[in-house]
Amino acid sequence: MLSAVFIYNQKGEVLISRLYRHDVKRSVADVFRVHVISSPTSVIRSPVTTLGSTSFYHIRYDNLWLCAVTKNNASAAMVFEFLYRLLGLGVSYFGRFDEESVKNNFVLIYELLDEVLDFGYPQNIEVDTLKLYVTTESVRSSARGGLQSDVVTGIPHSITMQATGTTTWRRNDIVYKKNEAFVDVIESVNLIMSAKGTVLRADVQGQIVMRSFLSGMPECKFGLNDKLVLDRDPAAGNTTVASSQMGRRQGGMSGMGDGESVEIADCQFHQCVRLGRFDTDRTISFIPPDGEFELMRYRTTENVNLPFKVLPVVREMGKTRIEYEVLIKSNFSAKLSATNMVVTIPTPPNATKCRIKVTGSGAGKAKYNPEENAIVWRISRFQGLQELALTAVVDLTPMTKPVAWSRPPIALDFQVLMFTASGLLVRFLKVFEKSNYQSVKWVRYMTKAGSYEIRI
Amino acid sequence: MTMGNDMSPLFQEVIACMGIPDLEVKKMVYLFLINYARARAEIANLAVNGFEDDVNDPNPLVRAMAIRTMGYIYVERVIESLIDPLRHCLRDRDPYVRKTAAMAVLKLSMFDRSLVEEERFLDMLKDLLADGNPSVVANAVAALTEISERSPHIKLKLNMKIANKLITALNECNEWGQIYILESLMYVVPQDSSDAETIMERIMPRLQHGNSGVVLVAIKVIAYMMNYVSQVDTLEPILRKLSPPLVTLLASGPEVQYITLRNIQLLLQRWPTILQNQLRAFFCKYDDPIYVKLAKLEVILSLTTEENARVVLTELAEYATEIDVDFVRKAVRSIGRIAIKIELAADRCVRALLDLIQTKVNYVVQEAIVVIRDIFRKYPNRYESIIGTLCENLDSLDEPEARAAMIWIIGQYADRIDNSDVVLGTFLESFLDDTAEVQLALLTAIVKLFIMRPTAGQDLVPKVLKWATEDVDSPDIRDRGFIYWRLLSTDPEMARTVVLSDKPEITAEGERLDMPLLEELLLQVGTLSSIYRKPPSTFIPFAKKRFLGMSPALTRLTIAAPPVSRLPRTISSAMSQPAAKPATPQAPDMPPALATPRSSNTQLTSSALDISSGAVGGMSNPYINDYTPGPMAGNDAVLIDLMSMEDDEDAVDGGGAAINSGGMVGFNANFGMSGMNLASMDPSSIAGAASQSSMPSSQQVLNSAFDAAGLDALSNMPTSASSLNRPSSNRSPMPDLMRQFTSSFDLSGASSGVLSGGSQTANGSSQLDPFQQQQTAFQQRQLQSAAFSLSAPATSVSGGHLGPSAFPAALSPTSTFFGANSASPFNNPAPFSPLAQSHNSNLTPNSAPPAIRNTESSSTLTATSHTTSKPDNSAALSREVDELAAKMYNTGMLNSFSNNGGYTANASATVPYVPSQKVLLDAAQTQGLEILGTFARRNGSIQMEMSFVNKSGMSIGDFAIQFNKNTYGITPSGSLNAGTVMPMSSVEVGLPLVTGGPTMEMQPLTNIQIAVKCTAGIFYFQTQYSLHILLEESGQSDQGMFLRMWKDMPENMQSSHTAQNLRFASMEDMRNKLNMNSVFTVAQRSFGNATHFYTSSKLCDGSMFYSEIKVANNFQAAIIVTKSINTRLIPLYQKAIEDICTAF
Repeated sequence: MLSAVFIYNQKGEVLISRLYRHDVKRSVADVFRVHVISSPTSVIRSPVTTLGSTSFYHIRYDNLWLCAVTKNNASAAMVFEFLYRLLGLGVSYFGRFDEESVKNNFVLIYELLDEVLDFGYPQNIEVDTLKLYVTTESVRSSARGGLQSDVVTGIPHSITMQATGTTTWRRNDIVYKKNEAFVDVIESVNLIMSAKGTVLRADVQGQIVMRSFLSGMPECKFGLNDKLVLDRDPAAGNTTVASSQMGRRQGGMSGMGDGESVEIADCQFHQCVRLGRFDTDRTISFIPPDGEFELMRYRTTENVNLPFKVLPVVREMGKTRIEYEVLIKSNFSAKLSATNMVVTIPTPPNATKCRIKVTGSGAGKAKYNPEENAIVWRISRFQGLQELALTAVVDLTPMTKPVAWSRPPIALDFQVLMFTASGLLVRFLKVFEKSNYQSVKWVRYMTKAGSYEIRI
Repeated sequence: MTMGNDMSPLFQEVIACMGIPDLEVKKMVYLFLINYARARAEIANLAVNGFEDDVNDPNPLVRAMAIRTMGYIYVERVIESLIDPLRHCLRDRDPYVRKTAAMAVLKLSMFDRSLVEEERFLDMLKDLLADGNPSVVANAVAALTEISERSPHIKLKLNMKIANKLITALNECNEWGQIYILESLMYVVPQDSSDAETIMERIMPRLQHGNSGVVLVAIKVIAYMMNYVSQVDTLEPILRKLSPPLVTLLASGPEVQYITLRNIQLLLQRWPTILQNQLRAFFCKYDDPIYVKLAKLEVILSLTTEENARVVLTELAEYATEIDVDFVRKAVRSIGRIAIKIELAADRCVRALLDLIQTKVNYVVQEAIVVIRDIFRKYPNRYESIIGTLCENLDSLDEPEARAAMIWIIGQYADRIDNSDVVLGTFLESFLDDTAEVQLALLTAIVKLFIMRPTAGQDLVPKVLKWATEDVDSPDIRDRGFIYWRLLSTDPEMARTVVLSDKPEITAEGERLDMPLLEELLLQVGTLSSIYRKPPSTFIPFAKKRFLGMSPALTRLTIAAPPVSRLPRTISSAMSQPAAKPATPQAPDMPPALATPRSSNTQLTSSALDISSGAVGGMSNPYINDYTPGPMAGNDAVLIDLMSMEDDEDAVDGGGAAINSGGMVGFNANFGMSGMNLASMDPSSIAGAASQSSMPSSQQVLNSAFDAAGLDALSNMPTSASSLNRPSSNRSPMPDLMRQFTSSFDLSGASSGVLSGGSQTANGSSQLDPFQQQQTAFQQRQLQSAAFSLSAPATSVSGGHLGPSAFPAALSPTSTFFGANSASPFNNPAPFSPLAQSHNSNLTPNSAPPAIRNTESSSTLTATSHTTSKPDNSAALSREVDELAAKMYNTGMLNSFSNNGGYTANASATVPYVPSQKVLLDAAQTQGLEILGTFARRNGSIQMEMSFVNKSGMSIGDFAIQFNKNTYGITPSGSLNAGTVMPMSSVEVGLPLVTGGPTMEMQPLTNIQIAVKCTAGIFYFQTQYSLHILLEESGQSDQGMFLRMWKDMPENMQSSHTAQNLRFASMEDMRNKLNMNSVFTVAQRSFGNATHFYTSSKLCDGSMFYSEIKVANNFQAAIIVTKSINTRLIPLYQKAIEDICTAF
């Protein structure tokens, strides 16, 4: 288990140092700085560094290094998960987690570290619960009143019940006037396409993020057009009340009909979801945390609708010139459009001058960016079933020592609203609560580029 | 404080703040205390009062915080005042306090382990396992797990009932709690297949968890449980379910991806069918961190099959154009691996490599050449057409490995490359500047060239040989140079056969881990150990070794068995010798084979493990295969006892919710256990008798202790098996020996004489092919390490004492090397004793002069060697052969001594076993003094019985004796009263010995080094005693003890041995004889045609040996299965039993 946690700034200065066990001294912080942060080899060869019997695990975020130290054969996955969580905790407490916010919140971070790890064992890292008793300046006054004066009324007890109970992620005294739940289906399309245009790998990493503003302890049930469920119960396809409401929204969304189902290769759930039930009948049932949380992650590999096709032609004309022709076609309904599209077309490091031309309506702007060694083509709005093209001629300076150009892939970044590359749809979200209130549910779909690479 | 400034002077003031009723302030004060209390213990004491108030605070948060903080402060006074409140807090009504208290127990145990046991906190922790609150259960489990991991004598065992409860709690825990609980399931040993299946089924949903730590630990438990499943059918669906979560984890952060990839590699080796058709998920993204890319590459390689090879190659070729040098190299290397692994893809691979060579990128070209060499090795006569292309790049080769590879290729095809002599000549110009690797390759290549095209090579060969033998410091190159030189000058035809012999096939299997290591690593999925592919004990000082718990359900099913080629290797190592593996011999003509052991140390460890766990597993555990039918004698109810013990446990468990009943979470606090766990922590104890690492040091010690020249060679004896396994570059201790070898041939002569004589006798052919003889002599030079290791045992240990472990171990590599020609006459594991016996009949002690060649074989040997030797070397050679003959005779004579002149043990059981005397010091090495001796234990005291034989012309007297430090501190307790020995007479002396002198660990453990001083000079020698002399007369154990120990000791503390041709008249006789030698019978059971003895012995250092000896009623053979915490001694102990049983 963890022996210490350190937070460094970019230069390797220790911002936070918390030791949990007596088997390490604070000086190990220097060991990590010397061997990893200021190591002369700039590329990190491993996220885990073991020196002697001391192992350092690090992740980087913004201008910080988060580093955990163990002296035993710890579960490395758990340590990294903890660091990710710690990061999330920082972000959610301070808005952003960087050197400045760490410096401004010393005390709070130490308090948190004391709470989330006991003797190096991760305990409760749920933001909601922690915020009850480890508080920021703004809410402290009221909370402290509670802690100090209401001992008799049992509020601390409810905190401890909360922190150790079966639903550590939710308080039971939440009340909203209007009960609402928002579901965002966010899909990242990953693509690796060879220079010849064959798809080497295409998959979709989906994320279902929910924002729940529901009173009491609501019991939710959630349904997708999961092939396994639909196959098992064909009648379930379009009968549920909730689904009809949502179905209407979906109707206008894309060309996909209700009857189609999606084969989910694998999924992972937030800890509030009852895994046992999912395992037996693939029902997703849970008591949601309050506010925003990631309900599930899923992965599909079959029948991915690639939103864009890219046809690049890159010709090296001798040693002084490269010609590019890049054609991009959108492959979704004409009613929809992609926004914030950025196409990065790499150029050799010795490029000097670029003559770029883009064709097509609303084709945006393309510029050569020498720092990135790339032509960056920005398209603010890309309609469905549209075609845009870019041609460029790049001059190269002759080099004394010819270095082969590694031809990095063309990368795309974009967002398409109301489109899912996997074809996944939310069929229903039902909310049951003792008080039997009415709740309003909203669903939104978005597909964005994960790592969308086209080799040239 | 954070900045490292010392704030401890403010201690007083800070403590004063403790009373402020504000939670925030309190937290800060506590943090301050944690940081500085250790340094300022005296002030920390002041804080105790504050703590005492806080632990009774009505606010549970304050109570918990006080307990938590006190646990961090390792100051006596604070800890003392923690104990009472802790006891209350463990029963606090608030779960938050309870869960914090559970952790505090762990903190306490790290401070003072005994305190936790004395105060019965462990029981309280066990009670918490039944707590209604899942967080409390999780923390209690975590604390128990770590306490047992760190304690030498506490062992966590969970039964199914507990496991089921824990799994129920699993569903309600938070993610971290789930990790702790799942981790604890590794301490459940399923007793039948259905237990394992239940657990797997119930934790299967965890694979869908969003926390990768939960997923990986769940996979670990499933991978562990799969070893206990009896039906292959049940495994398949489970394996299918493992794939998707693994792929999903690849979408996590790069760090988790890396961990996942490393573990996928392990899982794939054990279960090759998972992740079928998932290949594309492992294709690298351009911006993956380099560590992820490298790990992905490995997985891609393991997933490559004939069907997808084409896709993979395209992908790898793509990677080979990237920027990161390591990644590119690995990609190129992978292409070569695929060529070797998948024959159908070889063409494509070669084409891809050629394309890469055309890029002219320096490191790509060099890497490609290295792998092409391997492809040439694997597929001779197929791709030679590309040599031309390769040669175009000669100038760009600056890395040793690439140069060596290119040189090998040129040498191998010297007859097809027109200007091979010119090219090699160019390389030769920089010979002295090159690294050893290149020099070796060049030496061999030029010799090859000379053999294939004598005219082309005749200029180069003398040059390279001269340089290699005179100007190079590396002993490897020098040795090889000498070998070639002599080979070429004595017999060119022979040289051709040797140098151009067929090379052993290479495979891509070098990538694989050994099964036992793999098995151990699979118990560590998700941990650091799995990332580094090393057992935790190699980098964590206190780590306990994990192994598959023994249970009737342990099946180790595999779905697709690992390739057959691996199988014989494992088996043969298990069968033939406990500590050494027949490693790929480093024959001069071989480029470093792919299959060369990555680390011989781990191999040793694992092969030793193999024996105890794998190959003989079925036989070794008496409770698995034992048939129970038939009535059992009343006093021998071993099995019944065991059953009833288990029944008891169940009964206790059955008593409702009694979690505290102790039967469920079994904490074994007995001392035997503690010793055992300590032993298992020590990696060398697992490695068995031939511990590699200790070799160089023991050599040094020896050299300093006795700086006599003769001893240098002797001291090499302990290395016998292990030195063969070492990669050539590590053979540092050898050069001195080598020199000695060439100057005075006695030691090696003896062994080769023995060897060749032995082989002849064994084959029953006295007319040997002259070549073969020549070869024997030659081969000893070539594998001098082998020859040397052989020589030592041969001279110092006579006849029957050449244990089966030393002999085949040393021999197997030679027979591999010479497999084709000599038809492995040496493979007979017992060539020695027949020879010795045949000499016995011919000779009488003292009378036969050494010059007489009384066997046909030895004279053949001399004759042939004379005829085949060329003038320039014949003198040396004939001298050698003379020596061989003389030594062989000598050995024969020695044996005659030992059997006729020594003490003859009686078959009657009334006399303790005393091994026959053997020659300790040979008259030829001294000025005519010969010492024979043996060790005996009579009436509880140890004695060394020696004969001093004077073969010189002068009387010898003034004897004094000294023992070097040895493993058990055996040392003389009296003086040596040998008086004066007149010429041509002998004196028998008994020297009383005691244990308890200065100790030093020897290899083998029973080795003992002795110095004798007399008027003829000071002589050094070493010998080994039979372990039985150290067995105490008080070693009788009662049945209950025996049962408990037998049951508690895991299988890796057990090993089995077969003894043959027992010399007993009856079981009664055997029993008495064993008892007489302190191998006490605890119980005895008879079956139709066999009798089982259950015995116990106690060594002088207190360690116990428990054995089951299964004897056939005709005394043909006995299987001795021994368990002991002292695993290293088991083979020696069993050897002693065997000797006792087979002595006359």
